[in-house]
Amino acid sequence: MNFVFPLTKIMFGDGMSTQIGTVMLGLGCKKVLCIYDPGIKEAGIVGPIIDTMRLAGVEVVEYGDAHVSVPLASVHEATRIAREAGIDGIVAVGGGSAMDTGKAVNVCLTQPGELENYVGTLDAGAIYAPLLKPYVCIPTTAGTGSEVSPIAVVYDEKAGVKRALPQPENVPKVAIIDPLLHVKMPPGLTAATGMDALCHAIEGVGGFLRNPMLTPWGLTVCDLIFKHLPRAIADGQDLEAREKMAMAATFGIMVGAYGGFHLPHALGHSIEAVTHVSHGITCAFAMPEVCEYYADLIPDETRAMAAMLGVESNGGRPIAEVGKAFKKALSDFYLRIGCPKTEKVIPNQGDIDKIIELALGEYTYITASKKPNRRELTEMLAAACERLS
Amino acid sequence: MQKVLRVDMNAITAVCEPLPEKYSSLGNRGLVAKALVDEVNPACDPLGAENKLVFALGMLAGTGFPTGNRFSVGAKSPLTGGIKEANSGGNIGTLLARHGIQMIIVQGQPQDQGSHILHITADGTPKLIPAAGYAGLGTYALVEKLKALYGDKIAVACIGPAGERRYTNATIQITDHATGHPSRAMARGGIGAVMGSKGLKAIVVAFAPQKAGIDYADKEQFSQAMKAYLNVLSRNSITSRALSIFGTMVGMAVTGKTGALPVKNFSGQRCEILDDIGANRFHQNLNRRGGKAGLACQPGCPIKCSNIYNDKEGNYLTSGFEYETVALVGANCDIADLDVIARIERICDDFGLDTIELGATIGVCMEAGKLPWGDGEKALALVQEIVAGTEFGTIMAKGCQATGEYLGVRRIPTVKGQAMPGYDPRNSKGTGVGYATSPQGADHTVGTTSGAAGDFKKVGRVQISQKVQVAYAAVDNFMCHFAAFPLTSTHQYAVAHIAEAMAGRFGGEWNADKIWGIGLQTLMLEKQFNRATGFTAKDDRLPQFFYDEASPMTGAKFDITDEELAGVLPF
Repeated sequence: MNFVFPLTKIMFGDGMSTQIGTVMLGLGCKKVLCIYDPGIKEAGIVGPIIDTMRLAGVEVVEYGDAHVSVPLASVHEATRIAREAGIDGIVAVGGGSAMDTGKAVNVCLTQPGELENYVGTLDAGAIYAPLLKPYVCIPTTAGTGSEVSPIAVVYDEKAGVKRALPQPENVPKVAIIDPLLHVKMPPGLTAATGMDALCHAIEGVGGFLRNPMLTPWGLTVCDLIFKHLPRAIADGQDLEAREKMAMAATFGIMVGAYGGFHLPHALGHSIEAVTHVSHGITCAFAMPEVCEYYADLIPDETRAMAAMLGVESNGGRPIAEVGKAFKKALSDFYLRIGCPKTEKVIPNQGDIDKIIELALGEYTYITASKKPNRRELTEMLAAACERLS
Repeated sequence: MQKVLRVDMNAITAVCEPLPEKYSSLGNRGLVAKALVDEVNPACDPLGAENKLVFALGMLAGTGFPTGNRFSVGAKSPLTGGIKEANSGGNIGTLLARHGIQMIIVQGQPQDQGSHILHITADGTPKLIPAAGYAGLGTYALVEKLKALYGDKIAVACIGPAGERRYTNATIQITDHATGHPSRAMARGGIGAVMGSKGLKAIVVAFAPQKAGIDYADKEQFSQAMKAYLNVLSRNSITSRALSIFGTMVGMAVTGKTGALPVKNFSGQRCEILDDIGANRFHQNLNRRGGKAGLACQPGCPIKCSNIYNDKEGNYLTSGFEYETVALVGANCDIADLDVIARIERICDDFGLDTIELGATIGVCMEAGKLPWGDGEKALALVQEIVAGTEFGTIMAKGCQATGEYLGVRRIPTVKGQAMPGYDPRNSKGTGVGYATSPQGADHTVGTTSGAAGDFKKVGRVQISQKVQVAYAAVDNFMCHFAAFPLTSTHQYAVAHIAEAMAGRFGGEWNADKIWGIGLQTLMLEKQFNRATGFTAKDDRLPQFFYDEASPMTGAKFDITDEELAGVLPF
């Protein structure tokens, strides 16, 4: 078992984002690029963070137009601003879009050659870590985990495809996780991002790189989400629920990124590409079917996760039965927190073949530790559509 | 008791003799070298009666040691004029080992240009059968006919029409364990032409119901060592994971972005078509069309790096579709279509051509302006010229060097007459040192350093090439290179298990030095043969353009001096 586990310094807790000025100074930064999206600015989250940096004596250059899916045009624009300003550090405030933009900008700004050299899954070029600018993330959602993950996904709008930047060297230097920044998240976004975090944990526990240190993390993350996601949705001001979800997101991505994503992400990316529904929902959509399919591969973990949702799953009950009951329990959880039904996720059943075709080409399918063939995968997705109709 | 099967194509006889004692301490490549040094006049005509075609199994053949049944062949090469060894997996090594046949030496030449098949029957009797009816058959059709005649459980080593026509880029094709098709190649150095010159169309080996015994010095010691080595393989991330998931195409991930992948006739440019021909696209095509990765090319292999590649309609197109083919026919010719590359590969397997030599040959044709860069259909048409035997086709069939010279190309990427495989020697300098100094010529099996970080710089390259060449030559005596990854990545730990296995098999004191010593011995024999054919230090260098032209991608030139190269294998 060989693995690489790059680590980000994690600063966690209510109000922690007020430390940003000191953090940037501590990293030796005098002029930073702050990346965010218009919604975060409107919500009043980014203003105080920038003020804090300026008060600490750090000059801030703003790029406030981070886009969902991280189109390359946006990355290049932010890079241009950063280059012209001569920045020496990067801060991203927001969800996956802002944080992934920051990772891509850091590569464009510091690495020799074109971004093209570094994108890809298997074929991505190596990054020279010492060249990177200190990069700090402040997540405003509890889901993506990009603040501690090595992976960024950008959208090549000319080719019409998403490309990954997968290098472990590209993990942010510091992640400041301040659950108080999450209280304004609306229920729908809370649910979608929370389900993303759940997928990360469940997939990592069964991924092709799973290991015994990640598994307990993954199971704990699942438990946190099962308990606290419904609460955070019901009452956005439930600070304990927000805190536990923030923790689950940050630790969940490490389980997924280093344990290996598989079928839920393969299907999720593909549904997303066809119907443009949000990432967390599309990944969670057929996850119950995948969990049933994976039950015999990871029986102990499946029993543990099923038990968290109240499924009778002791060692005596056949694993196939536990898998089936877990599928039902996960599906109930998905509906209980208000996630959308089939008509909102895959409105046209005629798209299933197209989605499967895309999924079979996903890196997360190629590396799945248990791999259904085309027919089986189609049946799994069709069953999910039927279940949620 | 192991045997040598001696086949005389002049007298039309095939007789088994006991394996001489002196041949038990070497296997595969080393055994080939030993036999050629012992029995072949270095001055002989490679395609004449004096040359011998030597097939050999590894030192641990028949023991069940992982990849221990790899199959080698060698002769004086009609392409390089020097010693040549090529090897492959497939099922034939396993079946020969069941018969206890450790070597097959094919000598002489038929006086009447007749062709034969060597059939080793289920009870181990070798028979030479006239094969006029098979003349001109492609290997796929040939294997189908042979299976109809001798049953599905046979293993076949055969030549296609290229070998029959004595083309100097002809291969010997081996039946693959996973698919049964002749999709594995002993490809390099025109070894198929030597088989053609002997009038031997195929070797067919029947399954022996009774497995030949092995005389272990200490069976228990051997078994323990084998178990330990299997454990090492199952724990190594490359041998347990990367190769079974991604196959050899995973190499594109390393070479594609560092500039080691040859692009446009070894121009040193960045590959612009990696998305179209890289590992990710390869596996997308595989999965979407019902192909397969993770297949074993030889029985019992735990690494399983082989594959089945289907066409767009989901029908079988080829198997064992590997990095080197995609590197040379794809990146080196700028052909951005994996399906075209796969079609060319299938033709090569069927007709019996080396895809590395062919890709480099098409590369020099493109350099000469005979066809545009990246034109897959025109490249296919050129391959069809070889098949059709047109005037230009027969020139291409002589390989990259001959074709480049015919077309007046200045930049011909060969060493000792053999085309370079999928590593630009400026951006993988360790590999470049191997190309220059190996007795085998430019070859992917002599010791690649694969273009990992820093490989485009000079530092340490001479030393690493020396180390890797000796290690590869040693491993080439008993297992597949891919099963040997732990030997180079876990230092003495894994080598100790090999030494234990050798001690259990042969007795006596074994340690890591003795294992690597097999490699040294092999290289010494090969150099001895080459010296006698007239090779000198002057032949141990790269084509001049690698010294003169900087790779546009990295700025690197090949800057290892002749003096430094002379010190790599100083014997």
